[in-house]
Amino acid sequence: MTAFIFNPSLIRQKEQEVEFLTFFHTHEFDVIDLPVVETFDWTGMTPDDLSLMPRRETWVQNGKVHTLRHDWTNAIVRYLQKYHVRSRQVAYSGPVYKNGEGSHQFGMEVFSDVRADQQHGLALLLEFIRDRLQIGVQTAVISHYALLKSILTPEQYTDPDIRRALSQRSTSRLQQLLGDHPLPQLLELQPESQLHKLRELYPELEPILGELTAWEEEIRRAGIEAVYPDITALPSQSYYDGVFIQLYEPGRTAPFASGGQYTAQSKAFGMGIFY
Amino acid sequence: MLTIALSKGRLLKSFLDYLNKNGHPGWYGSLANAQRELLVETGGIRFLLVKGDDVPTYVEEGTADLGITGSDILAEQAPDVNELLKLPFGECHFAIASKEELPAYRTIATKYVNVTQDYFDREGQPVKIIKLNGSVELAAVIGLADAIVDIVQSGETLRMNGLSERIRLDDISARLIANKHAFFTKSADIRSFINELQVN
Repeated sequence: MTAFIFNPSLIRQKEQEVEFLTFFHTHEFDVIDLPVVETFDWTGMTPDDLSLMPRRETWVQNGKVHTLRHDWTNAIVRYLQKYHVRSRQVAYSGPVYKNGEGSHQFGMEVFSDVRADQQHGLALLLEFIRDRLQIGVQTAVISHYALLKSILTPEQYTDPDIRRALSQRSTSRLQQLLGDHPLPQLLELQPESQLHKLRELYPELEPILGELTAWEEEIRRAGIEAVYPDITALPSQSYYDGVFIQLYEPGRTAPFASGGQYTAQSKAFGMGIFY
Repeated sequence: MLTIALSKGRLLKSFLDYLNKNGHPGWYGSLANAQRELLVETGGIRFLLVKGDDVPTYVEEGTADLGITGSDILAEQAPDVNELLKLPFGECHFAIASKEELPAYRTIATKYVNVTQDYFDREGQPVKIIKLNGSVELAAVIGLADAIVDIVQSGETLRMNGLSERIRLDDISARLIANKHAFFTKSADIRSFINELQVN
């Protein structure tokens, strides 16, 4: 028997989806769509594809692996790795499926390595969140995926035990694993003081830290005052190679919007809202 | 205000001993005097006294900013939290225990299914695991399993049930865990709590 579930906010959600696409379309973003079912060849899967498989909804048919879309940026990156696109910036909306649960994502991607273009995309997204969704974002966490690669050796960066301790921000475990490396001591400082100390210890990191500060200022300009740097962030997929931002709404512990800089065909910036 | 989920039972007793020896009369007094209260507020901190297995859930969901629980529970559940510090109390270890020493243990009764599977996988040894939630020793006594995997502190419970520790596995101790969001938004309070604990 089919069960119909009455959801009083459903119409509002659909309206917001259309509003989002219309808003970005009027700002010269191309509206795109991609299939919700994605197909993988057994032999053509990359380490990124394999690492995401346990969290995807998958089935095998006619010798191929089929999955439901897990994340729009991931789908777009794989499209860009295969095809050329003429769009400079795109907006999208549609369902995603993670760990057995379905949700919706809408977001935008800017295919440009110019920081001003990328930050314009972020500013529009923050404007939409504030004015149309009327969500008062209070907290942002910002990281840069080139940071750890620069202060750890390649062996340390790829060591599974060190990566686990980094993802858990375990000071005592990092002290065990990294010895007198400055990273564990840095983690004992307030997040706000960590970048200042990093500048002192590693003057050569200025281009990365300067980039982080520029994005932090852009977020603050949108009225978000609590912006915390995260110096231990590790990318979930290897194409993320620059700034990464997570936005939190009051009373929620999971980010409701996230995204960052990546490289597919060329440098790009993308961010999505989950609802 | 910081909210901290504490594991009741043996670990709470170890935490109280630690507080008593390290000069925290306020926290010690309030927690030691709690009879059946599950929520204790003292000195700007709200302690939630919950079952050890549930501490990671309270922290992961953000109901508690911090939690103190055993590394055995974290190893079994692998929750999505920050495991900030190893704490200097609640020391014990995982062990394989049995009535008789056997060349190989094929059937294991345990509460720690993932920990047990990981160990036998590392050893390259197939195993059948029977999940039990309590009185695990009984399974080896009455022959439900060849052996058990459980946490061992003094070994007294094993001895009282006619079992002996056969293989010592990973060490266990208390850990301070943090909610991934509160780690940033309450960083000053969390740092102050860690400094108060004097574990560094």
